[in-house]
Amino acid sequence: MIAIIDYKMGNLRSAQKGFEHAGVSDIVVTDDPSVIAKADGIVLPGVGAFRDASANLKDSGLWDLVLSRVAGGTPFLGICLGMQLLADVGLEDGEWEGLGIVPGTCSRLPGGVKVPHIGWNTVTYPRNCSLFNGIDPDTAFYFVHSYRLEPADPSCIIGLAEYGVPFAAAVQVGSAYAVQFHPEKSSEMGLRLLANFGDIVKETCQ
Amino acid sequence: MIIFPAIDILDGKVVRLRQGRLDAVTVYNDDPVDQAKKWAAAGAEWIHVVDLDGAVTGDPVNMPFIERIVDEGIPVQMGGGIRSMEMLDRVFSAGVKRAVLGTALITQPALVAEACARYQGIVAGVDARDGKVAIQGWREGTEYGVLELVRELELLGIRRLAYTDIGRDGLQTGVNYGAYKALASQIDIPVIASGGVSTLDDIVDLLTIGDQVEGVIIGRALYEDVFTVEQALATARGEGV
Repeated sequence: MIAIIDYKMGNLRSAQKGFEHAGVSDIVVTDDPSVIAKADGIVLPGVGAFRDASANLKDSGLWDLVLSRVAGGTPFLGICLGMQLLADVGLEDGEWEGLGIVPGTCSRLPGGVKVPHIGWNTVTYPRNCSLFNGIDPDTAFYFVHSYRLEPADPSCIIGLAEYGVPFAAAVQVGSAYAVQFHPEKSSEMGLRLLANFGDIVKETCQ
Repeated sequence: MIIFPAIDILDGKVVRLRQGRLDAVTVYNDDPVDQAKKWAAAGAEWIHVVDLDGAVTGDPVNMPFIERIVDEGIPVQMGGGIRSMEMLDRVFSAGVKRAVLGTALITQPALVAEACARYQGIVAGVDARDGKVAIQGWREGTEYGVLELVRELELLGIRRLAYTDIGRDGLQTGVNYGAYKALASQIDIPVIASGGVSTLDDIVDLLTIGDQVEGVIIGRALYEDVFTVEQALATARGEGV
């Protein structure tokens, strides 16, 4: 079973429907620590402000649980804000603590281009990762964001996009995967990515 | 559930339109501020004000009325012609609690994102005819499906939806209960129902959908005295009908 974490940052049902359309049926939306503690895979979605997300995850008592599950090798997928939260620190209207799963910062997209970055953009792969199995390089995914994760160690970047500057569209550190775009809004190939995450969860279970 | 009595202002008068058509106007009061006082005196906790001139032309000519309604001390949710950050700043600095974006939802996604980051009180006003979104004071149809648009709006930071079924608005044929129930089950944000409330039973129906239906905007049924604001409030509190 895959648990989509409900920490009051939205985008839950569209993520859930995305997985269902991708053929991943055993998926629940939950804020129940006992469910998340035994889930085979964990998804952290979310839209909005880094500060609120950080606070909500702490207030819900799920912060340490997510960290310990990821440390224990449970497949994890962060989507959009759920990716940004993996940084050590978020620099949105101040400095806010992130989960620190991907060392680095979450900072605003640089000027010179229209922010937020809204729409379809292509992603290339600096290295192979099973999250993008069967998805050709330069496939377009749907983005909505003003901030992006800047990993301290670029070797964790598995997907790269460009908007004014190159930025990390997807990262992987151990069992933690994350995408800046919205696979649930990225039509067929987005669903393929969700199915791939479902496969990663299955393989890890066995 | 919040009851929002509606005050739609056209040419300085309180009107109702049938299905959003500007050639099907009924005038109910020559003074929007007087109308707001009446709804407030009847116990209304919010008022939903629409600047119809603004919705059609993009020019918020009825803003002075809205400022005076705010001065009455009742929380105001306002829509019609809000298509820029300057306008949003003006609306919120006038004391309006919630601003409803319409056309801009489709034409200016960047504005929506910026507005949601700046203000908590942004409401997405999605109007639909036959499941397709309509904009520009309902004169233009789009190819957007309602669910498709709302999912995108959620990503832009929208936290609240006012959904109007144009086919039912001002016709008093009953709310499109099925549409609200289906929508509520597929999105995460609260929904304010609008369009077609004709009896207290419509409020009861909406209550059964649950907390996700945060409120209902009511126009003609109140103006035609089908039921009173007091009765609507009592029904919304779940008191006997």
